[in-house]
Order: sequence, then C-alpha cells, then structure tokens
Amino acid sequence: MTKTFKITYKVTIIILAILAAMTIGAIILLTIGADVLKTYSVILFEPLKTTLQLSEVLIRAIPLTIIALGIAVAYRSGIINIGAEGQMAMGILGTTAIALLFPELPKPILLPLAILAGAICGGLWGFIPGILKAKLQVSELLSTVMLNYIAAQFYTFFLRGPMLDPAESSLGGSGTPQSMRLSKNLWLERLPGTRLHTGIFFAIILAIVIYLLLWKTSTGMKMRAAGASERAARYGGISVTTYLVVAMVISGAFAGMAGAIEIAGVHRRAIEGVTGGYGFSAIVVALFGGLHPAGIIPASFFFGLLIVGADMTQRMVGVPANMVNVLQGIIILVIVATKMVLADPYLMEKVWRKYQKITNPPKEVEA
Amino acid sequence: MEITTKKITSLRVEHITKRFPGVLASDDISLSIGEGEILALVGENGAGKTTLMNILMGLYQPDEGRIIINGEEVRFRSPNDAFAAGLGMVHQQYMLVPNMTVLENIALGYKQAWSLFKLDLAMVRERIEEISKKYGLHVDPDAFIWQLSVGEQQRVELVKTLCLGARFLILDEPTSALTPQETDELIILLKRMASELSIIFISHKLQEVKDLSDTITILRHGAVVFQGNTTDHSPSDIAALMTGHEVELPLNEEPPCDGEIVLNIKDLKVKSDRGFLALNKLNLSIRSGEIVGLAGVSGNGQRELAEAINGLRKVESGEILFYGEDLANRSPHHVIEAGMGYIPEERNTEGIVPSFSIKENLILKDASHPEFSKHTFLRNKEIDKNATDLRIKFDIRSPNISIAAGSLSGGNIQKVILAREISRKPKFLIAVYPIRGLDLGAAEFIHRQLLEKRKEGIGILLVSEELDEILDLSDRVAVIFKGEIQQVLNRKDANRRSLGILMAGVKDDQNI
Repeated sequence: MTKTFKITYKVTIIILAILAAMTIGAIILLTIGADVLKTYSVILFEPLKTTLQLSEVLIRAIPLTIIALGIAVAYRSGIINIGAEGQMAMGILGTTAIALLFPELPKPILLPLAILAGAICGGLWGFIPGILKAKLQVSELLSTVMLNYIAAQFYTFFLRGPMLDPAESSLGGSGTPQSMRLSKNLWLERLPGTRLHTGIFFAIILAIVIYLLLWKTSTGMKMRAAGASERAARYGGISVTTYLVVAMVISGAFAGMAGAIEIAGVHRRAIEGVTGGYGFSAIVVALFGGLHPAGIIPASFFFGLLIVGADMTQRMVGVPANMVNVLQGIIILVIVATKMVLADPYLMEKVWRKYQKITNPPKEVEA
Repeated sequence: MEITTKKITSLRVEHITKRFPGVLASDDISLSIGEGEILALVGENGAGKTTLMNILMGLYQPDEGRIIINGEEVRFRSPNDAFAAGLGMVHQQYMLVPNMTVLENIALGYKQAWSLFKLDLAMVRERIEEISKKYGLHVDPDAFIWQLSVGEQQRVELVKTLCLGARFLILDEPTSALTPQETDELIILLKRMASELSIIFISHKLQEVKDLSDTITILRHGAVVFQGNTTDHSPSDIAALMTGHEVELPLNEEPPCDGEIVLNIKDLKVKSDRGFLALNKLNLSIRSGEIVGLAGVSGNGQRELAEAINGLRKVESGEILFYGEDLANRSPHHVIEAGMGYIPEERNTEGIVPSFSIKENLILKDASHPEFSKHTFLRNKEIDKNATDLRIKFDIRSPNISIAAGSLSGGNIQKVILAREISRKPKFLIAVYPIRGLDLGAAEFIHRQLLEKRKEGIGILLVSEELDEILDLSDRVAVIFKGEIQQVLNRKDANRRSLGILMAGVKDDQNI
C-alpha cells in the first residue's frame, strides 16, 4: 500500500463521515420543516462573522478547554470522570465564598486565592470518587454521577441561602437565585466591547501544562502507564491507586478552576444554572480532541461554535436550540463510528485491492 | 460460495506470493496435503507462517498464486468463503466467551440453529454429541468456559470448529499453552482425528512435530526452504533448517555453586484469585550465582509464588527473606528497588504496556530514576540513548525505538522485557516461562543471557514446565505440586523421569 493511498483513504473516510453526519442531520431538520442549508450555514459560519460573535464562541471554548483537559488527564490515567459538572459547581462555590468573604483584598491576592479555592473545592469533589475507587473499587461512573446531584443541591442551597444576593430577596430582583455581584478585584480583564476575558490565556497555559505533565514528566508517564495497562503499571512498581486519586484530584481541580474563571470572567457573580452542561459537553470535547491538548483546543472551539450557533439558529432560522443538541449527538455517533472504521486494517486492505484492480488491471508482473 | 459437505481429499497451494510494503511475506510458496495427512508448518517467528495461514483462511488475498481444493481452484474473498469451503482454524488465542456455557459458545457460530426468534439449542447439542462421538472429543456442553482448564478450552475450540463444518483443520501453535500431559493427550487425539480429516499444524516445538506430523514444510523469510517426510529427519536437522544455522541451546555445565543464600522463602502461604491457598507453607532457598528451576505443571502455585515475591500478591503468612530483608507484603516498588528483576508470565499484558513505545517500556521501572528524569522532567536524550543501545545489545528487531511495543512479535517483546530487567542490574532474577511460545533463535538468546547473569553471581529462579529448559539451565531443580515443594534435586539427580513423577505429585518413587 502506498502512503498516498493511505492518506487519501483516511481523508475520504473522514469526508464521508462528515457528509453522513450532515445527511442524517438534514433528514431530522427536514422533518421539523427547517431550511437545511440555511440552518447549517448559520450554525457553522454565522458565529464567525463578527468579532462580537466570535468572542462569544471563544468564551464558551474557555471552560470547555479547561474541563476537557482535566477529563483527559483522568481518562489517560484509567478513570472516567463524568462528575465535572458537579466539580465545576463546587469550584464556583469556593471562589464565590472567598470573594464574598474578602472583597477588599487587592486583586493580585484575591484573584489567585479565589481560583485556588475553586481548584481545591473541585479537586475535593474529584478526590471523593478517586479514593472510593482506589480503596473500595467503587465504580467512578456511579460515584461521579451521584456527586453531581449532591453538588447541584449544595449549589442551589448556597445560592438560595447564605450566598443569595440581598437585592434578590427584598426587591424581587432578577428572579434567578444568584449571589451579589462579586468584588471588582476578582474581575478578569475583558477585550473592550466584548465579554472575552483573559481567561483564554489561562486556558492556553493550562493546556501547555497538561501537555508537559502527561508527556514530558515521569509522573505523567506513570499516570499514562496506569491508564494504558493497570497490570503492567503495577508490575512496573507504579502505585496505580495513588495515581488514580491524583488524576481525579487534578481533573476535579481543573473543573473547579473552569468554574472560577467562568464567574470571574463572564458573569462576575454565581448564578443558578451557570454550569450549563459544560461538564458533560467537555467529556465529548476531550474524546473528540483525542485526549490531547492539541486536539482539545480546536475541539473546544468547534463545540463553542455549535453552542453559539444553536442560539443563533433559534433566532435566525427558527430552529429550536435543542435541535442543535440532537445534531451534536449525531456528530458524536459518527465520530465513534469513523474511529472504528479507520482502525480496521482489513477494510483498508479490501479497498486497496479494489483500487488496484481499477488503476492497474491484472497483467504479468516481473517477479 | 456454496456450502458443501464433501470431504477435502486434497489441498494444494501453488506459487503463493504476498507482498507487504518492504516485506516479501510469502515468496512463491507451494505445498500440498493429501487426505488424512498431517502437515507440520515450521519456522521461526516472522518466517511467514501466519501470513500463509491468513491467506488460506481468506483474511488476505495473495498477490500471486492459487489455492486448489479437490482439484478445483478456489478464491476466498473473506473468512466466510474459507469456512464454506470447509477450512477451519483454531487460533492460538481461544475465541470463547468465558461466562457462557460450551453449548452457548458453539451455538453462537452455528447459524443453522438460528431462526428469527428462536435459537435451537437442542439441535446444537445433538451436533456436539455427534462430533464428540465421531472424533472422540469429550466436552461437557453445560460447563461454563471459565470452569475449564486451558486444555479443555482448546478441546471446545476444536469441537466448535468441527461443528461449524470444518473438514480441514489449521492449528496455530496448539500446544503453546498446554501442560506436558495435555500436550500428549492432544497429540494422540489429533492422530486419531487424522483418519477423518487433514490437518496443518503450526509449531515451534520440534518434538511434537516429530511425534505428530507426516510431512514437514519449513519456512524461512517467507520462502519454503525444505519439504519432506518427517520420519526421515531428526529434530536437530529440522532446527538447523529452520534457523539457517546449527542451533544448540546452551547448557549450564558449571559446577554447583556454593554462594550464600540470597532468597530464602519460609513457610509461605498465599491465596489464589479464587480464594484457596495456592501456596501452602512453601519453603525454598536460592543462592547467589545459582539457577534454581521450578518445575511443575502450571497452576500449582508458580504464578502466585512469583507474584508474592514481587509484591503483587498478598502474603497470608510466612517470610520472603531477600538479602536478609523480609519482602512479604512490601509494595512492588519496594521489591524492585531492593534489586529484584522479574520476567513475568504474561509478557504481552504485564511485562509491557502494549500501547507504549519500546523506549518508554524500557524505562517503565525507572521513569523517576535520576538517570532518566531531572526535576520530574523526562530526559529524552538519555531515554533514546538507552533504548538505542539496548535495541542493539539485545537484538530487538523493530523498525525504530518509538513504535508501540505491543506491535512486536512475542520474541521481541520478551527481548524488550529482558533488556529492561537485565540492564537494571538486578541482584536477583525471577523468570517465569521465559521462552514459552518463542522460536529457537530467541530461546537460545534468552537462555544465553540467563546463563551469563548466573556467571555474574546473580541468583535466578526459573519457572518453567518445559523439562528440557529446566534441565538445560538449572543447578538445582525444585518441583512444585499443589503449592508445596515436593523435593529439591541436584542437577545430576534430575532427569525427565524423576521430575515427571514428582510433578505428578508422587513424592517417593522407590515403589514405582
């Protein structure tokens, strides 16, 4: 098989996959009577047309990137973290608590302290399923999902109770349970005229940190070994359970930091429902990005695009934003299927034979 | 292709050539098998046996050449075509679902018993009984796969293949996981089956080839180097043809050593995965510069012993004194740091991380060692250099040091493990089935390395069920049976007969 053939083969399959995803999506869009082409062009291109809209895409990509990085660390270490949503909520609570308690602290102290608090709260929420798995073999699928519910209740309790904005209760306010506006010393700088905040640099730095951690340090190598083959890692003297807990703490801390950055950069207060499914979308982002920072960043951008595009289709074409979630689901299924097809050497071999038959029909070849 | 049930009276392969990028995997191979014949296909790893069989089974298409069954040319476009033509293959790795019964496993592939809403298990049961009777293959249809020994599982694979309509069998290294007794049984069974069908038998083990086959075909570098009748040639002739040079497995001929005892196991009790005592008050001591062979049928506590010493299994009671320090229930890391080297039984899943590159696997135990990391950052230059050196020194055949170790052949994986364990300069080495499934060339290399380490004064515990390996290398032989050491023999007192009797659990053979 020639190299050109292999590349062409793979590219063709990816293109076919994209076409397949778009076709299935088109059928669904047709059933609800939407204009297919317009919907697609709005989702994919409209958000990129103005700086403001592009900045909104990037705002969505920031928490997705940070959380997905953490999920990648966990995944690579052999534990699946579905609890990022809860970890993010806990992170927001930690950050908010610090900001409400010490509003007067100067920015260079308050900001790092608040982010750290977010990381610690999120990390703690990751530590619980980690230690349960390490010591008692409790499935992380179970514990992380359950902890999501507990975190959601905590979040609701604090935002409707101790942290509730006094303005909300007496004068009616917005009607959404939220904290009061946090100290200015916590605010991240914004690009003028947009909501795009400096958290984007933070996300990029974290991506580099994770890349270095996983691929350039001995700790990362051990974590990956534990994830790739638990038995071989144990044999190699690597304490699999320790790294499992460490990975979950990192994963949780990243989700917590994403929460901290989100409120410090975008909302400037804790609001109910602010996590908005980032913790779950980030799982898809992490897998879509190949569990590698270099893949996670573009994947986050793509999913940010879908989220913003979903809003816009609702406004511009009248397609409900929920339909975009359906499209997301289709994309995920197609990606999984494509990966399986690409990993099948026999299929490639088969296509190669067909290809050879077409290009050079059988003739006598010199031995 | 139409399904026929005609007997396969002859199978010929003519001028099969198959090229992969940069490799000529099959080079103008021709062979033929008549009715009731057993053909042994012999060759080192990478000689092209598997490629040839994959072509026969329709997994690959030959670039040139043809396959002729009963005088008619056939073309297999997929494994289904090969099945339909009556070819059946039993792979090295069994393809059975452990938590299903034998009956259910066979029914999975038995399409005639399937209808839209019903699976006719009674029909499958009948078929199994018919096949069992015809070939003398006894299986219990209601046993769960996980309850069966490796030998029994293999029998299930055979029955399955035959039930699905195979009239021509291809067996890929069928004895590689069997105990000596099971091997003997299998050989008798296959001989009997040969009256009904023809068999291609792939093997490294020349004694079995001698015992079983009628004709022999030897492959080297993808080409046939020899074809002939088995009876006309001795195992050493075959070995020489296989490797292209005379092979002599090295022997330990040094006088018994009198080093100090470095590993002293006292009253060791360890539980197996299923919870019973796999080691029951086991006592064993090994000196420095000595190879002690641990002979025994697998499943008598060898795995548990190796794991307990290496900190991978909990010790219930007893001591493992290693240079005076008790290693019982210490962490694997602690045992490694104490100077223990370990070549594990499961080389593909335990000895290496399959998805990691060769160079990463070579530092699996030393990722944090200052030689390979500085302030926790990996020192890539040193890691590359280490891998490049070891690759040459241990003759690891791979395109480069960055490819996944799991993609290497068994022999090369074992060399990676050996290279890592030996280059770490261990004070002691535990080698579990170090040459299982390897070809002669690789086996010779590994044995030479072990003997060299012995000379350097390292104590070695060699776990094996191949008596030849034990007798070739050991200074003393300990026989393990049901978790206890039956007896420890000096090399001069050990022979196949005495060991065989001890392995079967008879302690005192005076009366036999």
